[in-house]
Amino acid sequence: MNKTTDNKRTGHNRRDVLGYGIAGLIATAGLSLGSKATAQLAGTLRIGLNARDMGVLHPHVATGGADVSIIASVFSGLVRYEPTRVNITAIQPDLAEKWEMSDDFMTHTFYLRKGAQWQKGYGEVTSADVAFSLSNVRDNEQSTFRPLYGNIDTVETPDAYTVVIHLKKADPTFVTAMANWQGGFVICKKASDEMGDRYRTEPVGSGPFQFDSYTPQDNVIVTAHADYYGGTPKLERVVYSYVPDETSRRFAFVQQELDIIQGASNQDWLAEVIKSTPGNPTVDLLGPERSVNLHMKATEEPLGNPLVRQAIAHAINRDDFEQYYGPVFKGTHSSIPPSYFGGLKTEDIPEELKYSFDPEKSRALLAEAGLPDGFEISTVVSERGDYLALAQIVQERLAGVGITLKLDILDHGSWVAAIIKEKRGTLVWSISSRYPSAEYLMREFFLCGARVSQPGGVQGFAEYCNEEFDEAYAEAIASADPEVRAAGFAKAQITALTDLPVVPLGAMSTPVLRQDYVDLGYEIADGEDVTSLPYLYHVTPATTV
Amino acid sequence: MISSQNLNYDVPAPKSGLLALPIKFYKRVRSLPMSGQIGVLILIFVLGTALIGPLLVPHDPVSQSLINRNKGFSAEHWFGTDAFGRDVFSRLVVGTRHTILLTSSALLLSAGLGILIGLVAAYNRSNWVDSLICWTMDILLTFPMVIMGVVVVAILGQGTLNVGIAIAVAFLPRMVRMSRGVALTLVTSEFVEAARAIGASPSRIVIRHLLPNVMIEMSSISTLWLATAIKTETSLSFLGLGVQPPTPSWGLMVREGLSTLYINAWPSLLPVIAIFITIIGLNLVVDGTQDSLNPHTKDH
Repeated sequence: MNKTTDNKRTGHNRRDVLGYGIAGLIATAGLSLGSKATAQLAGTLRIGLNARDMGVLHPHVATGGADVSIIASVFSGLVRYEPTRVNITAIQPDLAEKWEMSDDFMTHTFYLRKGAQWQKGYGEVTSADVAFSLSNVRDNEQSTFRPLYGNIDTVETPDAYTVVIHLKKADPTFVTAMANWQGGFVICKKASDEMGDRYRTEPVGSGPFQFDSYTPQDNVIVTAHADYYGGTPKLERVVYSYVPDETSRRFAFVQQELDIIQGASNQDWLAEVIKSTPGNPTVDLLGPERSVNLHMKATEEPLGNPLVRQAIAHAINRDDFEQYYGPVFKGTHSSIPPSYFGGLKTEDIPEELKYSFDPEKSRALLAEAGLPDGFEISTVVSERGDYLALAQIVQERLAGVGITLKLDILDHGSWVAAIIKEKRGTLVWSISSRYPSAEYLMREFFLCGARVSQPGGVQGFAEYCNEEFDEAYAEAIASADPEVRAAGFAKAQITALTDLPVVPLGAMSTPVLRQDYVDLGYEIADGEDVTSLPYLYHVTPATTV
Repeated sequence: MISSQNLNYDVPAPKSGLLALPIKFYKRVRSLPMSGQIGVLILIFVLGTALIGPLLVPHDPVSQSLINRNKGFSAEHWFGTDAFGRDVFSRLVVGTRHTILLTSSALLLSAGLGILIGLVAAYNRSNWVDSLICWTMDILLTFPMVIMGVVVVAILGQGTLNVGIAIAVAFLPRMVRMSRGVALTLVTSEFVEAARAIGASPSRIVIRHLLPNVMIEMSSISTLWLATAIKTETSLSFLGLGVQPPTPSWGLMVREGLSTLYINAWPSLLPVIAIFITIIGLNLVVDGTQDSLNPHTKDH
């Protein structure tokens, strides 16, 4: 028999091709028919997260939108925001029963509730845990929240249930730093000491749900914390599944295999999912809005030239994003969303600092900068849909004025590591929400100490430093008078817009979907503005399915 | 049994002008069974699209129009538009060029290197050079094609050129193994013995006597492997490791269309159909050629 012909036969032949065809047809048929919808699972809440995998579950270092939503159900803070609102007026007692502040705003005293238990038998939550927790976040090199806690001078614990915090500078709103978010989450000293690095991925907190298991790239399961001081949760467990692909997440939600999902930031997508899902599902556009920015690294040529940065700003059309994302996205002209306290309204920004879409002006600025033919620049970008779409839309607009942007697409985790640890990225897109007051984003993006290249730097991707900005910021946060604070924040924003280290693109809400059989345990009125820091609903002891 | 001599189809071209080659090609195609002829037509269509299609497309394949997102088929946009309002027809045509050019040049590179190494191995069949080459290639062969591609891209970084190299590397062990096998049947044949007897140098034997014969055999197997190469390229692009946006390629188009699969499936579905048709075409041609060469099936 012919040897060479035999060898060829090991590749493909008509039978194989026919086989592929039939397999393809069966797969398509299966996809279109779908399997029978799975009803809700009693006692189990199934949540689909927009992430590939768990990053870290230590509240003082986690920044990923998927990690923080799990952390929010495992940990608690001294005080908490009453669900659906994130505001100083919504602050309620949590681990602390009451608190007081000295007249000079320098000393803040918290009185802990007695009998609050750590999960997994680690004993009672005491003032020693709180003191440990605060020093952990303040002195933690890996924490991007430490600037907020850098203002803490000393922490005294006169007894097991009293914590006295002395500040370096007056801060009348310090209580928000103690709320159930990021560095405000109290960690367990005993568990952290005993477990070491393991505490980062198998956390022990004092919240309503305790960590049960983690399956890489699959899920994290938390179970009810029976000794929770707020009462044993009604749910037995919550399964947080990692479903990075929007289409898979949509499919699982429509099939009712997931009860709550993080949606895609796209109006068409949301409308289609709502239409296809049985029952009467709800989509909520959660605030605080995520501020969408393009950081331009001043230490990378030619971005050091302000004319080039202005040219980039004028090349971008905010209408593009509004069209692409739909009502989820609102174009803004300041990095602090107008819905935040201290955020500049568009009408309060001088016309020349709005950097509106004007390709002619952009080209003229490039010519003035000595780059009449434009230039080529490359950067890293996350593969996540919302980031990649921003980058591709900007890429096209920049091409229109002669700037060639090359994108090196990385998975989201690698991208975060690249821009923060490796300090890569000439142009960095950020989509971030914080407690809705200007100082939070300013502290992380614009202060001199925030520069990524600095030894304590956080998210100053633009390598921006202007003392005028720092001074205006400092004046604002030292005052208890809302008007003085707002004026200081406004001054700082005008300074930042004049220097233009960052192009403000817009503000985006976070779409989250829930099935009609999910009872969150608190009411959300129709048309109510829901704010929730963890990019997801708060899962409370009263939540049921 | 195909003897080594009749593998050397060194038929002198008839000197009857420009039409000779197309006529010869036409006759060869006509000698194929019907399925093979259809395959040839498909391939001509795909290659023609790759070569001249990009000159004729109605729209710039990377130009966005966000107001015209996810539009259906129309006279303006024949295959509709994608999530960025880009013309899907233009992207598909230009993507054909990227996919076909990239894979075939990668395959050529791989075949060039692979045949050379394979011949060296076959010529040194009784000493350590052959053993070393075979062992190395056997180890490389244990990696599935796409995994091998991912590893190479991980080392070299993303980008069109690196994907080409990744595909070439992924195919190298197969090329070496195959060409060595073909060459082994030749090195012991009489015409090689004769060349050696008249004092030809090893390099002359390899280049003048072994290479042309191996080339013919390898060219047909490479056509079949082009299908696998296209699958590898589209897989890598689908995984986000291949051609980088906004440049269109089939795999990237499938990936980009996934997020709007339930809103507008065409941007994803059309490249899948293109991949499907191309691979079918390649398989039909190879199957047809085999059938026409095989004495058992030739006359049926």
